[in-house]
Amino acid sequence: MKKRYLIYIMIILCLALSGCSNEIEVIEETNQMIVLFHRQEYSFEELIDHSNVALVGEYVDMIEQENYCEYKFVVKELLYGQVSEPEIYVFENKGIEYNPETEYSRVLGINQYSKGKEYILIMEKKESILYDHDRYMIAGELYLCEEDQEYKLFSEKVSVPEGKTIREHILTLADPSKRQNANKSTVTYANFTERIVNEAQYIGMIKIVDLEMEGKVHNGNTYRCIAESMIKGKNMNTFEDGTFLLTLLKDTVEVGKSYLIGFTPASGSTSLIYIQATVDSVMEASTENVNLISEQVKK
Amino acid sequence: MKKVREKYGSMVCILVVVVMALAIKSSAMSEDEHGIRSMNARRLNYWFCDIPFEAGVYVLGRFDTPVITLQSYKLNTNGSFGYNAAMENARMQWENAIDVPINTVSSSNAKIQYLGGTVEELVAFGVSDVDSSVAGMTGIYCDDDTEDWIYANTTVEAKVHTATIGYIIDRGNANYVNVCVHEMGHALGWHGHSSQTADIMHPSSSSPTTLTNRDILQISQAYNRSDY
Repeated sequence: MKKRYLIYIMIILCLALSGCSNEIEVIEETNQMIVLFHRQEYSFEELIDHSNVALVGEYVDMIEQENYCEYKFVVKELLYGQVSEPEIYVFENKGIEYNPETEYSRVLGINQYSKGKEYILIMEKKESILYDHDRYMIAGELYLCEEDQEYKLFSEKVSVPEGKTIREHILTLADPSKRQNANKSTVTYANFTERIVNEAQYIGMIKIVDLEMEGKVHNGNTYRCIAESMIKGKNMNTFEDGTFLLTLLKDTVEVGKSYLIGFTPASGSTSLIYIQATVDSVMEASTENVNLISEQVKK
Repeated sequence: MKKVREKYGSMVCILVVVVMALAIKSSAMSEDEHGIRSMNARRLNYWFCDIPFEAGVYVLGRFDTPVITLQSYKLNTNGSFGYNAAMENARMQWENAIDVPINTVSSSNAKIQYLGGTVEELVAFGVSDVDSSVAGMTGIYCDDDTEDWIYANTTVEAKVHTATIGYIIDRGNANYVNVCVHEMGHALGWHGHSSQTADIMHPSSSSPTTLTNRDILQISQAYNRSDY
């Protein structure tokens, strides 16, 4: 009789446990995100005007992430701007995009390129320590394929003047300064303290108050922070409660602890959100580190 | 008595097991369907979302809570960026339209979260990356389970929003009231667009700043609880 009861108890436990695990799976599955973007539709001329890189690239592969995808291209010919690697990654959000005025919409994150084919790409290049590699974005639905003789922007034909190739047409429209391809000067520093002090607009003892946002499209998390003391930089912008937002590389800090951090505003002088200045500008809050940085600041 | 216990004891135990299994199953179901009303296909009276969410896909969303919370702030101190006033204007217009309180809170756990800032500031926040041509963005988390509602002979997916987050881009001289009211319309349930240029929910960032009857009727039917 006792054995029988034990079997029943085990059955009940099994049922209860399997019920719990199913519930967790359901909760994990029920959080799909639909993203709607509103774009100011650029003309072909405006697209070129806002771009800083144009090149001919051979499509290699599509790398799909949870919230975005990247199209990998081998650079065949640079038309203008700078690229630092022989392969580039063209970023595209996932979601649905609407273009004002034309009532045109498209689903983002669907591959339109064929492996081995070459395409002309007109892009906005972005660099950040938060990215795995330089990020290239196309401000519109662009399809320029010389092999197919197909030149489209937002599904509308791009007209190329008679007697000109599409490349010549792009170079005619591009501001001549874009074609200079001046090499970016790279500064070298004697040590990491010199690098941090020169690259960071602010350096101070920063308390991590809370996690505000876990980054979905880059390698950073945004934290709400309080500056306990500053070594470099004064009068930084804060919210009314004295806090500010700081985006740091993932897995570098713990909420509730203080760190010595070098950081810069995300954009202009009015920003309330900042980014760590260099990959190594989040340091342990030790007296040794404070002394090292303070000495470098005084130099 | 001992004979009776031996005869019926195992049957009682089996009964207990079955009852408990059913109880567990039903409790899992209620968690599973959190926020979803069980009802037969509901008929809609209006459909002004004539630029659908996606070709052939008709969607109307809603928050299934008596109060909708909103957290909204700027990521800069730029005084000429009229985001705060525009977002408050949007909050009031939509609150009147759907007849559900939209309360401003400071918690990041708010049902609707909007941030205003430059492209660089918003990209640093890390929800979405945008290029120079993007004016606004709304990301909507939905419950996987949907109901089918009916407008004329068209099936409409009725989605329950669990949370939304959006960006309003500081573009210098943009019409922020239009952009904020429009984006909040998406957060509340307008998944597509109107084809009428006078409507806020037309996909243009042009002049309208006040909700039209079409804007209101389309969304308010998702929140009109007396029809349920």
